[in-house]
Amino acid sequence: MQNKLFKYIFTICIFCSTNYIIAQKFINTARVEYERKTYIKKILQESGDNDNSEWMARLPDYRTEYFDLYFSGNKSVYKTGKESDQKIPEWMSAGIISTVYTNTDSGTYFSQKQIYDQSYNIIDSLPHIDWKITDDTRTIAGYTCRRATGRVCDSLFVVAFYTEEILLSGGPETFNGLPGLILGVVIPRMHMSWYATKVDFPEIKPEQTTPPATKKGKQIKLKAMLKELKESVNDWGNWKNTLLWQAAM
Amino acid sequence: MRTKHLPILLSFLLIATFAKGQFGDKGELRGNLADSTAAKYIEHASVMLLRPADSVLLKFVRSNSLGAFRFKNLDTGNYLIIITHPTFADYTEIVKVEAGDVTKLNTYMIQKTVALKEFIFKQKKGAIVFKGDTIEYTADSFKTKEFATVEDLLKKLPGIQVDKNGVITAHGEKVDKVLVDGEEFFSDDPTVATKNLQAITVDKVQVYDKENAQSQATGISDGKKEKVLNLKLKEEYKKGMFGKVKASGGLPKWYENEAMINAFKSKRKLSGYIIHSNTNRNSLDWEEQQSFGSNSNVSYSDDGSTTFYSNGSSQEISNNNQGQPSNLSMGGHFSDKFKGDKHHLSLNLTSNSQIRRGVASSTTRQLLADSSFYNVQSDSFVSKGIKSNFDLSYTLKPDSFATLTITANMGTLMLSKVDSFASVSLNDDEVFVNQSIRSTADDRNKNSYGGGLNYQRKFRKKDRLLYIVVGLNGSAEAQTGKLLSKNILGLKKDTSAIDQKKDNNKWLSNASFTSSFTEPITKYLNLQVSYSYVNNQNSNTNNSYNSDGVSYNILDPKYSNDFKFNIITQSPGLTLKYKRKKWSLNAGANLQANNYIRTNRTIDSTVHYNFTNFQRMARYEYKFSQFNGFKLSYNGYTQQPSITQIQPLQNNLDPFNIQKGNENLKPQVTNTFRIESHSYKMINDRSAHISMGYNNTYNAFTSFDVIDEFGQRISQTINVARGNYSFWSWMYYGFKLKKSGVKLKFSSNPSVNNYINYINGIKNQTLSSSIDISPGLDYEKEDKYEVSFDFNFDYNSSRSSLNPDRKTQYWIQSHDIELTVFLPRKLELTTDFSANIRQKTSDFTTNNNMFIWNMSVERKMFKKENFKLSFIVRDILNQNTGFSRSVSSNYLTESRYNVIKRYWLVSILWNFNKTAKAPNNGEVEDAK
Repeated sequence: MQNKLFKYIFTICIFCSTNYIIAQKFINTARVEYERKTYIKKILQESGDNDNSEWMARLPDYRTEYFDLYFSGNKSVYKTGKESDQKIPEWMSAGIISTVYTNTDSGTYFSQKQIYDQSYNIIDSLPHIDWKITDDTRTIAGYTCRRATGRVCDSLFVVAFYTEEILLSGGPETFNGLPGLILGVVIPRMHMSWYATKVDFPEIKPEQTTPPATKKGKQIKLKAMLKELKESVNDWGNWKNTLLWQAAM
Repeated sequence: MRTKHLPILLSFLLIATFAKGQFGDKGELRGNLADSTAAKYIEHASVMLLRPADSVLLKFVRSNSLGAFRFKNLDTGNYLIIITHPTFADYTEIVKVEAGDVTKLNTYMIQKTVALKEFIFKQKKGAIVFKGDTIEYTADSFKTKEFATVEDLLKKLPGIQVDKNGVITAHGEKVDKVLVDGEEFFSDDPTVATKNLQAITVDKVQVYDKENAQSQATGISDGKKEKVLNLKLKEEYKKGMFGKVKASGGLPKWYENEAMINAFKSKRKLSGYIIHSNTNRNSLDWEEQQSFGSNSNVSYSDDGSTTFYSNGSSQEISNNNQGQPSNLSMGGHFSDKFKGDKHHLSLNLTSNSQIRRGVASSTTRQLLADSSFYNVQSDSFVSKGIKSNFDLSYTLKPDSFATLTITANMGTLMLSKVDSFASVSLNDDEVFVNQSIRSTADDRNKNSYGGGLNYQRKFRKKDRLLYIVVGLNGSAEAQTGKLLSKNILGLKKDTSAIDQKKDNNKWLSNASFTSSFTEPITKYLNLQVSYSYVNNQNSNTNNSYNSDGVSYNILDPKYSNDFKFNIITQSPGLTLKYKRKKWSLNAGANLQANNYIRTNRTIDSTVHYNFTNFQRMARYEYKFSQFNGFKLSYNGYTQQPSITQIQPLQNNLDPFNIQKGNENLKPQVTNTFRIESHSYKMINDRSAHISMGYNNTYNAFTSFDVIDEFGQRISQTINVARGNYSFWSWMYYGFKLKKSGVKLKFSSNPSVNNYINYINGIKNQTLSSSIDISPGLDYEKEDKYEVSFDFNFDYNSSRSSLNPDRKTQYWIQSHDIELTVFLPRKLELTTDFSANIRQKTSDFTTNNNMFIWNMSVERKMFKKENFKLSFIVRDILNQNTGFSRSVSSNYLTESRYNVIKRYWLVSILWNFNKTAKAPNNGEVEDAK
């Protein structure tokens, strides 16, 4: 009884304090641009391609690519963004191009993946990551982000920075599962990182974040796709793992 | 007995599984969030549930527009909840979710701008918290030096004192046990934990009273309790390993070497230590009560955690720091939790070997009605002992309702001692009264074992509880020795000599069963019924042999005997518990029907005694807040006369002191009243504690001594109806001066004791009182110096009705100053000076003042500063002497014994720490 009375008074107090405007805005719809960097020199060194040191010297350390994430409510699409002005030999460019439609409500995603000459349509549930929450924070694209760590692809250590100010529980590629949008991801073993460079607010129509009805290419689950891919790249040597990991993202 | 109860246990287990299937073991957590400064609901705050062990995010939600959040279908257990919001300071708490229950968490969040102002305040939040009977200190709130030990930390906690030997006193009472994470950590020696673990590894220090398993099960205290100090380690130190290695040596012969390692892998823990020393600074054996029937000491707290330890090993290796010991002790500890913490296994193995040489002397003045004796004694001994103990405990939690613990322990002791003793008594006119010289050589071998089972079962109905404790313990001891003595009596110098061989065999066993059932009557009232059965068997064979010139084979029937005792105790009991939010009241009583059977196997006679006792208790507790509360308690308990008080075994070891039995002894009844109150103020860092107690014993056991003109004493235990009482109190007040940061503390410990005994048929009433006042001061200037002053004034006075004109009054003062100076080049100088001033009295006219000065210089080495090289000199003034003074009714005794005096050591210490504080391989490739 007392408890109820207290609640009642409490509610009245809140309605009375009309001068109060919630200072904090939570973002429910936006476009986020991610910059993906790959430390290609390191990958080359690791793969043992040291004989081409002459052109290696001309290569930039990182390959940089841009992606855009459009989201509204629980639906999002992650696709190739603006072109990078880097000059990188054709064969050194990313072999995998994907467009990812995510629905965090149902916990599923649809990904159109172009892996070299093969295209896949992956429909699967979002990968689960056991995130460890830490107390560390840093600012990315003007948002305060909290650091979390986890593992993907069974063994890869991943660091993510997420902001609770953006309500979508998503991130670049298929990273997800944190109470806010992931604005930064680092996978040391893959020599790759994703960082948001800007967040803006164009109008986002529902059809933008809805997967296309007509799907060309094979429709497949992620696991089956990886299995198939593994068989075909088995003799790729050191590049194999990098490719498979990237395909799994 | 065990098989008899097995079906019942099994059926409970079945019910438990069934119950689980039917109702499920899911719980719910919900709550509301509001702004602490303006009354507003907080929307969109992210509420995360983490696994406390590794901070893995399990679930999260956002609070809705009314600030509400809800988690359904949660597995039961503890969760770490973190609530974050861009405008508010993070809120973190451990919450418990119970099966079929809704846990509510209504929280006010503090705006970051406000929180920033309160930063210092926040840091200290809950430095001391009172959780029911437990006082909990947050270790990080009390700053210690780098690499400080737990002992250094304890010294900083308000209300806790640590003396030179490492003995800990908490709120005026000696701490009996030190546990680590609720588990026994090398049972024999609490200083293993306090001197070897680093303060930085400790998260919380908890202090509480614990009763034995029987008392806990029945809710009725038998008046015995232990003060327990539990060290909770920080989670981050439970990943990886840490420890220390220390080697020290000094000429001509001193050494002090220690090593300890603690290794953790997920829930598995492995610890080991080894100590090898001859400086008496390590391996302190504390007195342990030989309490049969409660060897396995398992307790389940309200939050579901279990603590256990065994106290089967009675202390037998010399403990009083007398003499010069050399000591080697080692131990290993293993514990593991598996299958989702449902199984918990813990093992301890310790071994301690010690050689001790001692020389002691004492002067006693014995007061009679019209005369007095002086007695001077001297004693020298060499003892060698090896003691080993093993204990095991296994806890099984088949579901959230039931907990089963099985314990087992084993111990062996081998002790040999050679002792030579001489005493001379003179009367007031310095005329010879008696003289005694004896030498003894003993070899003892003791084996003990014990096992126990604790079962606790909760039910779906809140507060309904079943508790079963079963225990089985025993020991066998064989002692062989020789007694050679010569005693001379009176002016005529009557001489008698003894030359005997002694063979003693003791055998003890104890079986006990205790069960209780608690049933909630109303929402607030619980009723507990209990029953316990204890069977003690005790057999004692003592044989004395005289020599026929060749060997000792003539039995001396006067000093040989063969007894067997059997005591069966049955006690039904009833307790009522009434609990409200702020206060609680418990009251209970039980009946104890005792059946004693004593068989004298030498003459084949059997005697029966029957006693019925009544024990009762009441306790009232009131909590103003988490930091403030008081407790009132009453205990009335009965103590049986011991077997030796009824019928002592005839012994000719000391012919001037003879014990006589009393078959008409009645049990004594003690009534104890206690008041305890504490308060802690966070902002001012002020803490206060007061406890007071009053004991009154009805039919108290007291001595009836007849002393003849030759100083021979025949004593018997009798009952006195009234007049034995005592009062004691302990007060503490500590606070910090805001401007200077000086910490001041003050404690006082007054006591009054009235004791009645009989001397040569005359009633003698002794009223003794003492008051102890200890002010103290701590100050530290960061990275410059730390200083502490501890003063102690102890006033004692005693007067007995036998000699009303004599009044014994004296002061004992001890003052300590400790100073640490941090010098450049990573050098550190520590020095402590203690002055012990004992007033002379008319009986004790020698100078007893003693000034002890110790100093050490340390240098931290290497980049991580985890190596320490030190040079230590102890007792620079070479004044250390062993000394004790006791004043009791008609005796005044002062004893002196040899101790280690001045020596120096060079010591190197390595503290290692390979714990995963945080995953640090995260941002090596941070592309920016």
